[in-house]
Amino acid sequence: MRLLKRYSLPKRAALCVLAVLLLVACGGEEPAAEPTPEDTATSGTASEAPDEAAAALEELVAAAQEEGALVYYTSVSEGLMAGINEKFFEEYGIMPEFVRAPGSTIRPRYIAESESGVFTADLLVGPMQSVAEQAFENGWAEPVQEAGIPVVESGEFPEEWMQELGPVINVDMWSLAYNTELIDEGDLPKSWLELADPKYKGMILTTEPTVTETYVEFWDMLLQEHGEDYLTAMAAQDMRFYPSGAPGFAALGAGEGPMFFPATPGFVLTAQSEGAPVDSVTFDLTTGSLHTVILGHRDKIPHPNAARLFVNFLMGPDGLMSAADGSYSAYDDETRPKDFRFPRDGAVEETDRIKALFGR
Amino acid sequence: MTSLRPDPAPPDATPVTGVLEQDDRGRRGVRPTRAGRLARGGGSVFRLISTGAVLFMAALALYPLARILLRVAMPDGTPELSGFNDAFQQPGLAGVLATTVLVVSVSGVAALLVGGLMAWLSERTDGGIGPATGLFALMPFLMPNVAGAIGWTLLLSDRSGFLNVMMRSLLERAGVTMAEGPLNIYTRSGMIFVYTIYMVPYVYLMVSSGLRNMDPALEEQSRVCGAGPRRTVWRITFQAIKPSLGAAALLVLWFGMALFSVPAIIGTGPGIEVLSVRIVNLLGFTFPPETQAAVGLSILVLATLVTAWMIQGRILRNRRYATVGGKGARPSLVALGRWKLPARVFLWSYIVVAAVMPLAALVVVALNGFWTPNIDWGGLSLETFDVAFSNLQTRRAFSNSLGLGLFGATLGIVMAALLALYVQRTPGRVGRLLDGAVKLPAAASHVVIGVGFIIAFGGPPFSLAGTWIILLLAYLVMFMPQASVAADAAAAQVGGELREASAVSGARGGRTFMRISFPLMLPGLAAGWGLLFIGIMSELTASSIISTPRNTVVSLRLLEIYQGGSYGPLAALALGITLLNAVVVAGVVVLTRRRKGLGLSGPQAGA
Repeated sequence: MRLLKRYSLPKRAALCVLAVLLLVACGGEEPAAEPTPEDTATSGTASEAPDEAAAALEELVAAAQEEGALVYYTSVSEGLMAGINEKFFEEYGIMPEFVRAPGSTIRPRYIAESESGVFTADLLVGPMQSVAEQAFENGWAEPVQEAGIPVVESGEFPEEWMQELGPVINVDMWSLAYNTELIDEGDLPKSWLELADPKYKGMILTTEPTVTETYVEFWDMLLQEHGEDYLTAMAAQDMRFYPSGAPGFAALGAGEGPMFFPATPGFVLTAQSEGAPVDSVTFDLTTGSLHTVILGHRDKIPHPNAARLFVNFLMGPDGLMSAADGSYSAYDDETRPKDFRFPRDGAVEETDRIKALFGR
Repeated sequence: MTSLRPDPAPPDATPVTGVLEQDDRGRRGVRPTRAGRLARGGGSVFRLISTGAVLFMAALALYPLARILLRVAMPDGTPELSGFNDAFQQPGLAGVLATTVLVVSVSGVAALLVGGLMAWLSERTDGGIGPATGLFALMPFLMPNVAGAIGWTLLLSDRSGFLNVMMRSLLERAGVTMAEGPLNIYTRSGMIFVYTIYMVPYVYLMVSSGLRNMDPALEEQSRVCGAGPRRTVWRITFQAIKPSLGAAALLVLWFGMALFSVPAIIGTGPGIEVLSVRIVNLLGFTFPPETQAAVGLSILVLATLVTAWMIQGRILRNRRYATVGGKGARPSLVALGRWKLPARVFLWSYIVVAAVMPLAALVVVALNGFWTPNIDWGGLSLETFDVAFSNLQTRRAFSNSLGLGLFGATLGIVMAALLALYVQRTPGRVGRLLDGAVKLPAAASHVVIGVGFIIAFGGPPFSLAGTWIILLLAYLVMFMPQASVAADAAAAQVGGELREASAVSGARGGRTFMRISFPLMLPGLAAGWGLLFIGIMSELTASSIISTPRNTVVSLRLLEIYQGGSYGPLAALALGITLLNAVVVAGVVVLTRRRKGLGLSGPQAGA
């Protein structure tokens, strides 16, 4: 301190800032986990298989490991993607890095970067259909169907789940969540239709109905199935709206209302792990938030082989679905709700109509 | 040779020592003396550096905005402006505008009254409660906006808000049973209340630094001349701190127009929509994005803010306020007499309501792990903190943000000081235009700035995507307007006397800046430094567009946790950021207050 007093005030301030910066530079960073040689071994099953697909996979693994890294943007929950990354690392010795943000941020970011010739992300994972078309038109991305992905080439990935704008690797099924301290499971409605019963008036929490495409798709499904009268009846239920699923779900745990919908399994599991009194039911008729992949064009992205290997992993039976209870993939035919519907093409065109019916 | 201060105002804000003379055409004017010319720093290397810095900042602010405007107006190389018309044909736009005006103006006026009164009580009366006022008055400002807004919903949500549950329990004992309320955050008045709480720190920062920096001799002279305390406050103190009040009003307006998290979290449920939310919704939540309409509405915001900025400029140019002179003096405090107790009760009440309660709500939720009014007090634990801070990414993000905040705020405030002095010394349109260019980003949504930076600097020839430099530059542009307003007020209060004395004594521009202007501006600059540092630590929207895994920042971690729906970890991380902000800003305030020699110490030190 006496030493500092020898200097004038601006110099003292500058010295202090410099000292803290040095501390930050020296002590703040911790080394990221480095892949170990044992971990980088290729999958035994794949490398031993004699067929063409296995050979292709082996070649892809070797090229990917040479690149040694990959970056993706996602709006899927952080815990889920961190689990996937760990599995991928264990399998192939490559630790993916990701930026996790809401789709409303990822979309403008990806478009601005791509238009400027910046390709930081090798791929996008999540409900990204709205940027897919633009990405293909401009040559920023290449269709997964034509990217030489082993699980596609071998026919292992079910064709039904390969949509025009990309493969659906996972569906977060929409369900009705409830506060177990405020309502008994027996008193819950048995369908979305029953939720419009006036006896539930004032008991429902929900997300702003058109805040993202996936919510629009949910309401579009109900609009197509039950007509405008259903949405009008729901609008009369005196529902409490939240700007996104996160605050709505937190409010459910706090007892702001007995029921919250549409809810994804990720929210329910996280809240339960924290001790919140919540649970959920999934109705036979439902849709979900579709997680797709947009694969960057191999001539533009920094890690084309690692990206394709990751896509192969996500689309395989050990991929995204394996990490998430309550969500479903192409390999989950048995446990999927009976009347599951893929969102309708052009559902987002109903945005204004849905908004108007809710008076929002 | 006559030395005079021209009255009314000179063309620039700096009083110039000069000679009154008449030219061949009979025009009268002031020819600056050598001292005046030297004080302006003419011809020195310093002037070259400061001009370069100002031009750099202006270009840095304008280029990304120009690129995005060009992209929006000429998507295929030919002008396409139809989308701009859509901006003004938005459904319900009149209601949105009316709500914005109501919320921002009512909360702005309330914040000016509350923050101004708190600053005056603390700095100029014996009713202050010591450094606690400063620290706690700034608390809402130290907390990331999203966490603050959530803190208030935890307290005042009509059904499960902690305060409402407590009040209902008390009322029930008195025989009154209520299912909801009695208070409700999800209303216009609730939103105005939270806006006010968030605006008060800006006013407090500006006004208290203005009061600390004003020449107390004027108040003393007023008292000696027989003026009572009220008359002295109105005729002297209030007039002296007009630049600070003007700066505070401008900051409050900018902040109010740009605030997004609070209206998004509180206003969405009851359908109370403001302009900032509409703009972000048009960009991020409309399919496809209505970028032209969003930019059109941003231009409307810009017009409002430019008008406010011009009014503030007029206040500064009028120079009907006191500046720091060459003579030092300690301020004597106004004795409040019987009003001393109510003043202290007011200050403590504000601190409890605005700082302690939301902080306590976040602490309880962090310790409990999730939000519930039925707290199991025996089950509280630090587990959530442990989980939040043991995450490697969170620790790296903290470290990155701290480094960026310290370096960015220091670089930014030096730039802001150079800009303020440059504008003071450069009369006419050039100075005003450059000043305006630097302040322009205050009108732009951070989504627009984030996208603009990627377009402008992400790709060739700069190729800054994924680097620290692009984040640093974006932060400088986003928070330079606030820092610059603080520096303008600080520069306006530093009179020309000392600079001229320095110049006459042979010091050149750089030496005068480092030895005279910069130290004298320090209280105001410390406020600006704080604005920059906290802004950088808490900025969320543009960071989520610009940062990558290699340059991740702590606010992005906050956003990730928020999106996951976990209020416990969110509260834990937000408390960590708040604590860090408080420690760093308190350190800077203490450092700048330890000033001797000019009699500019705060009343606590002098009392």
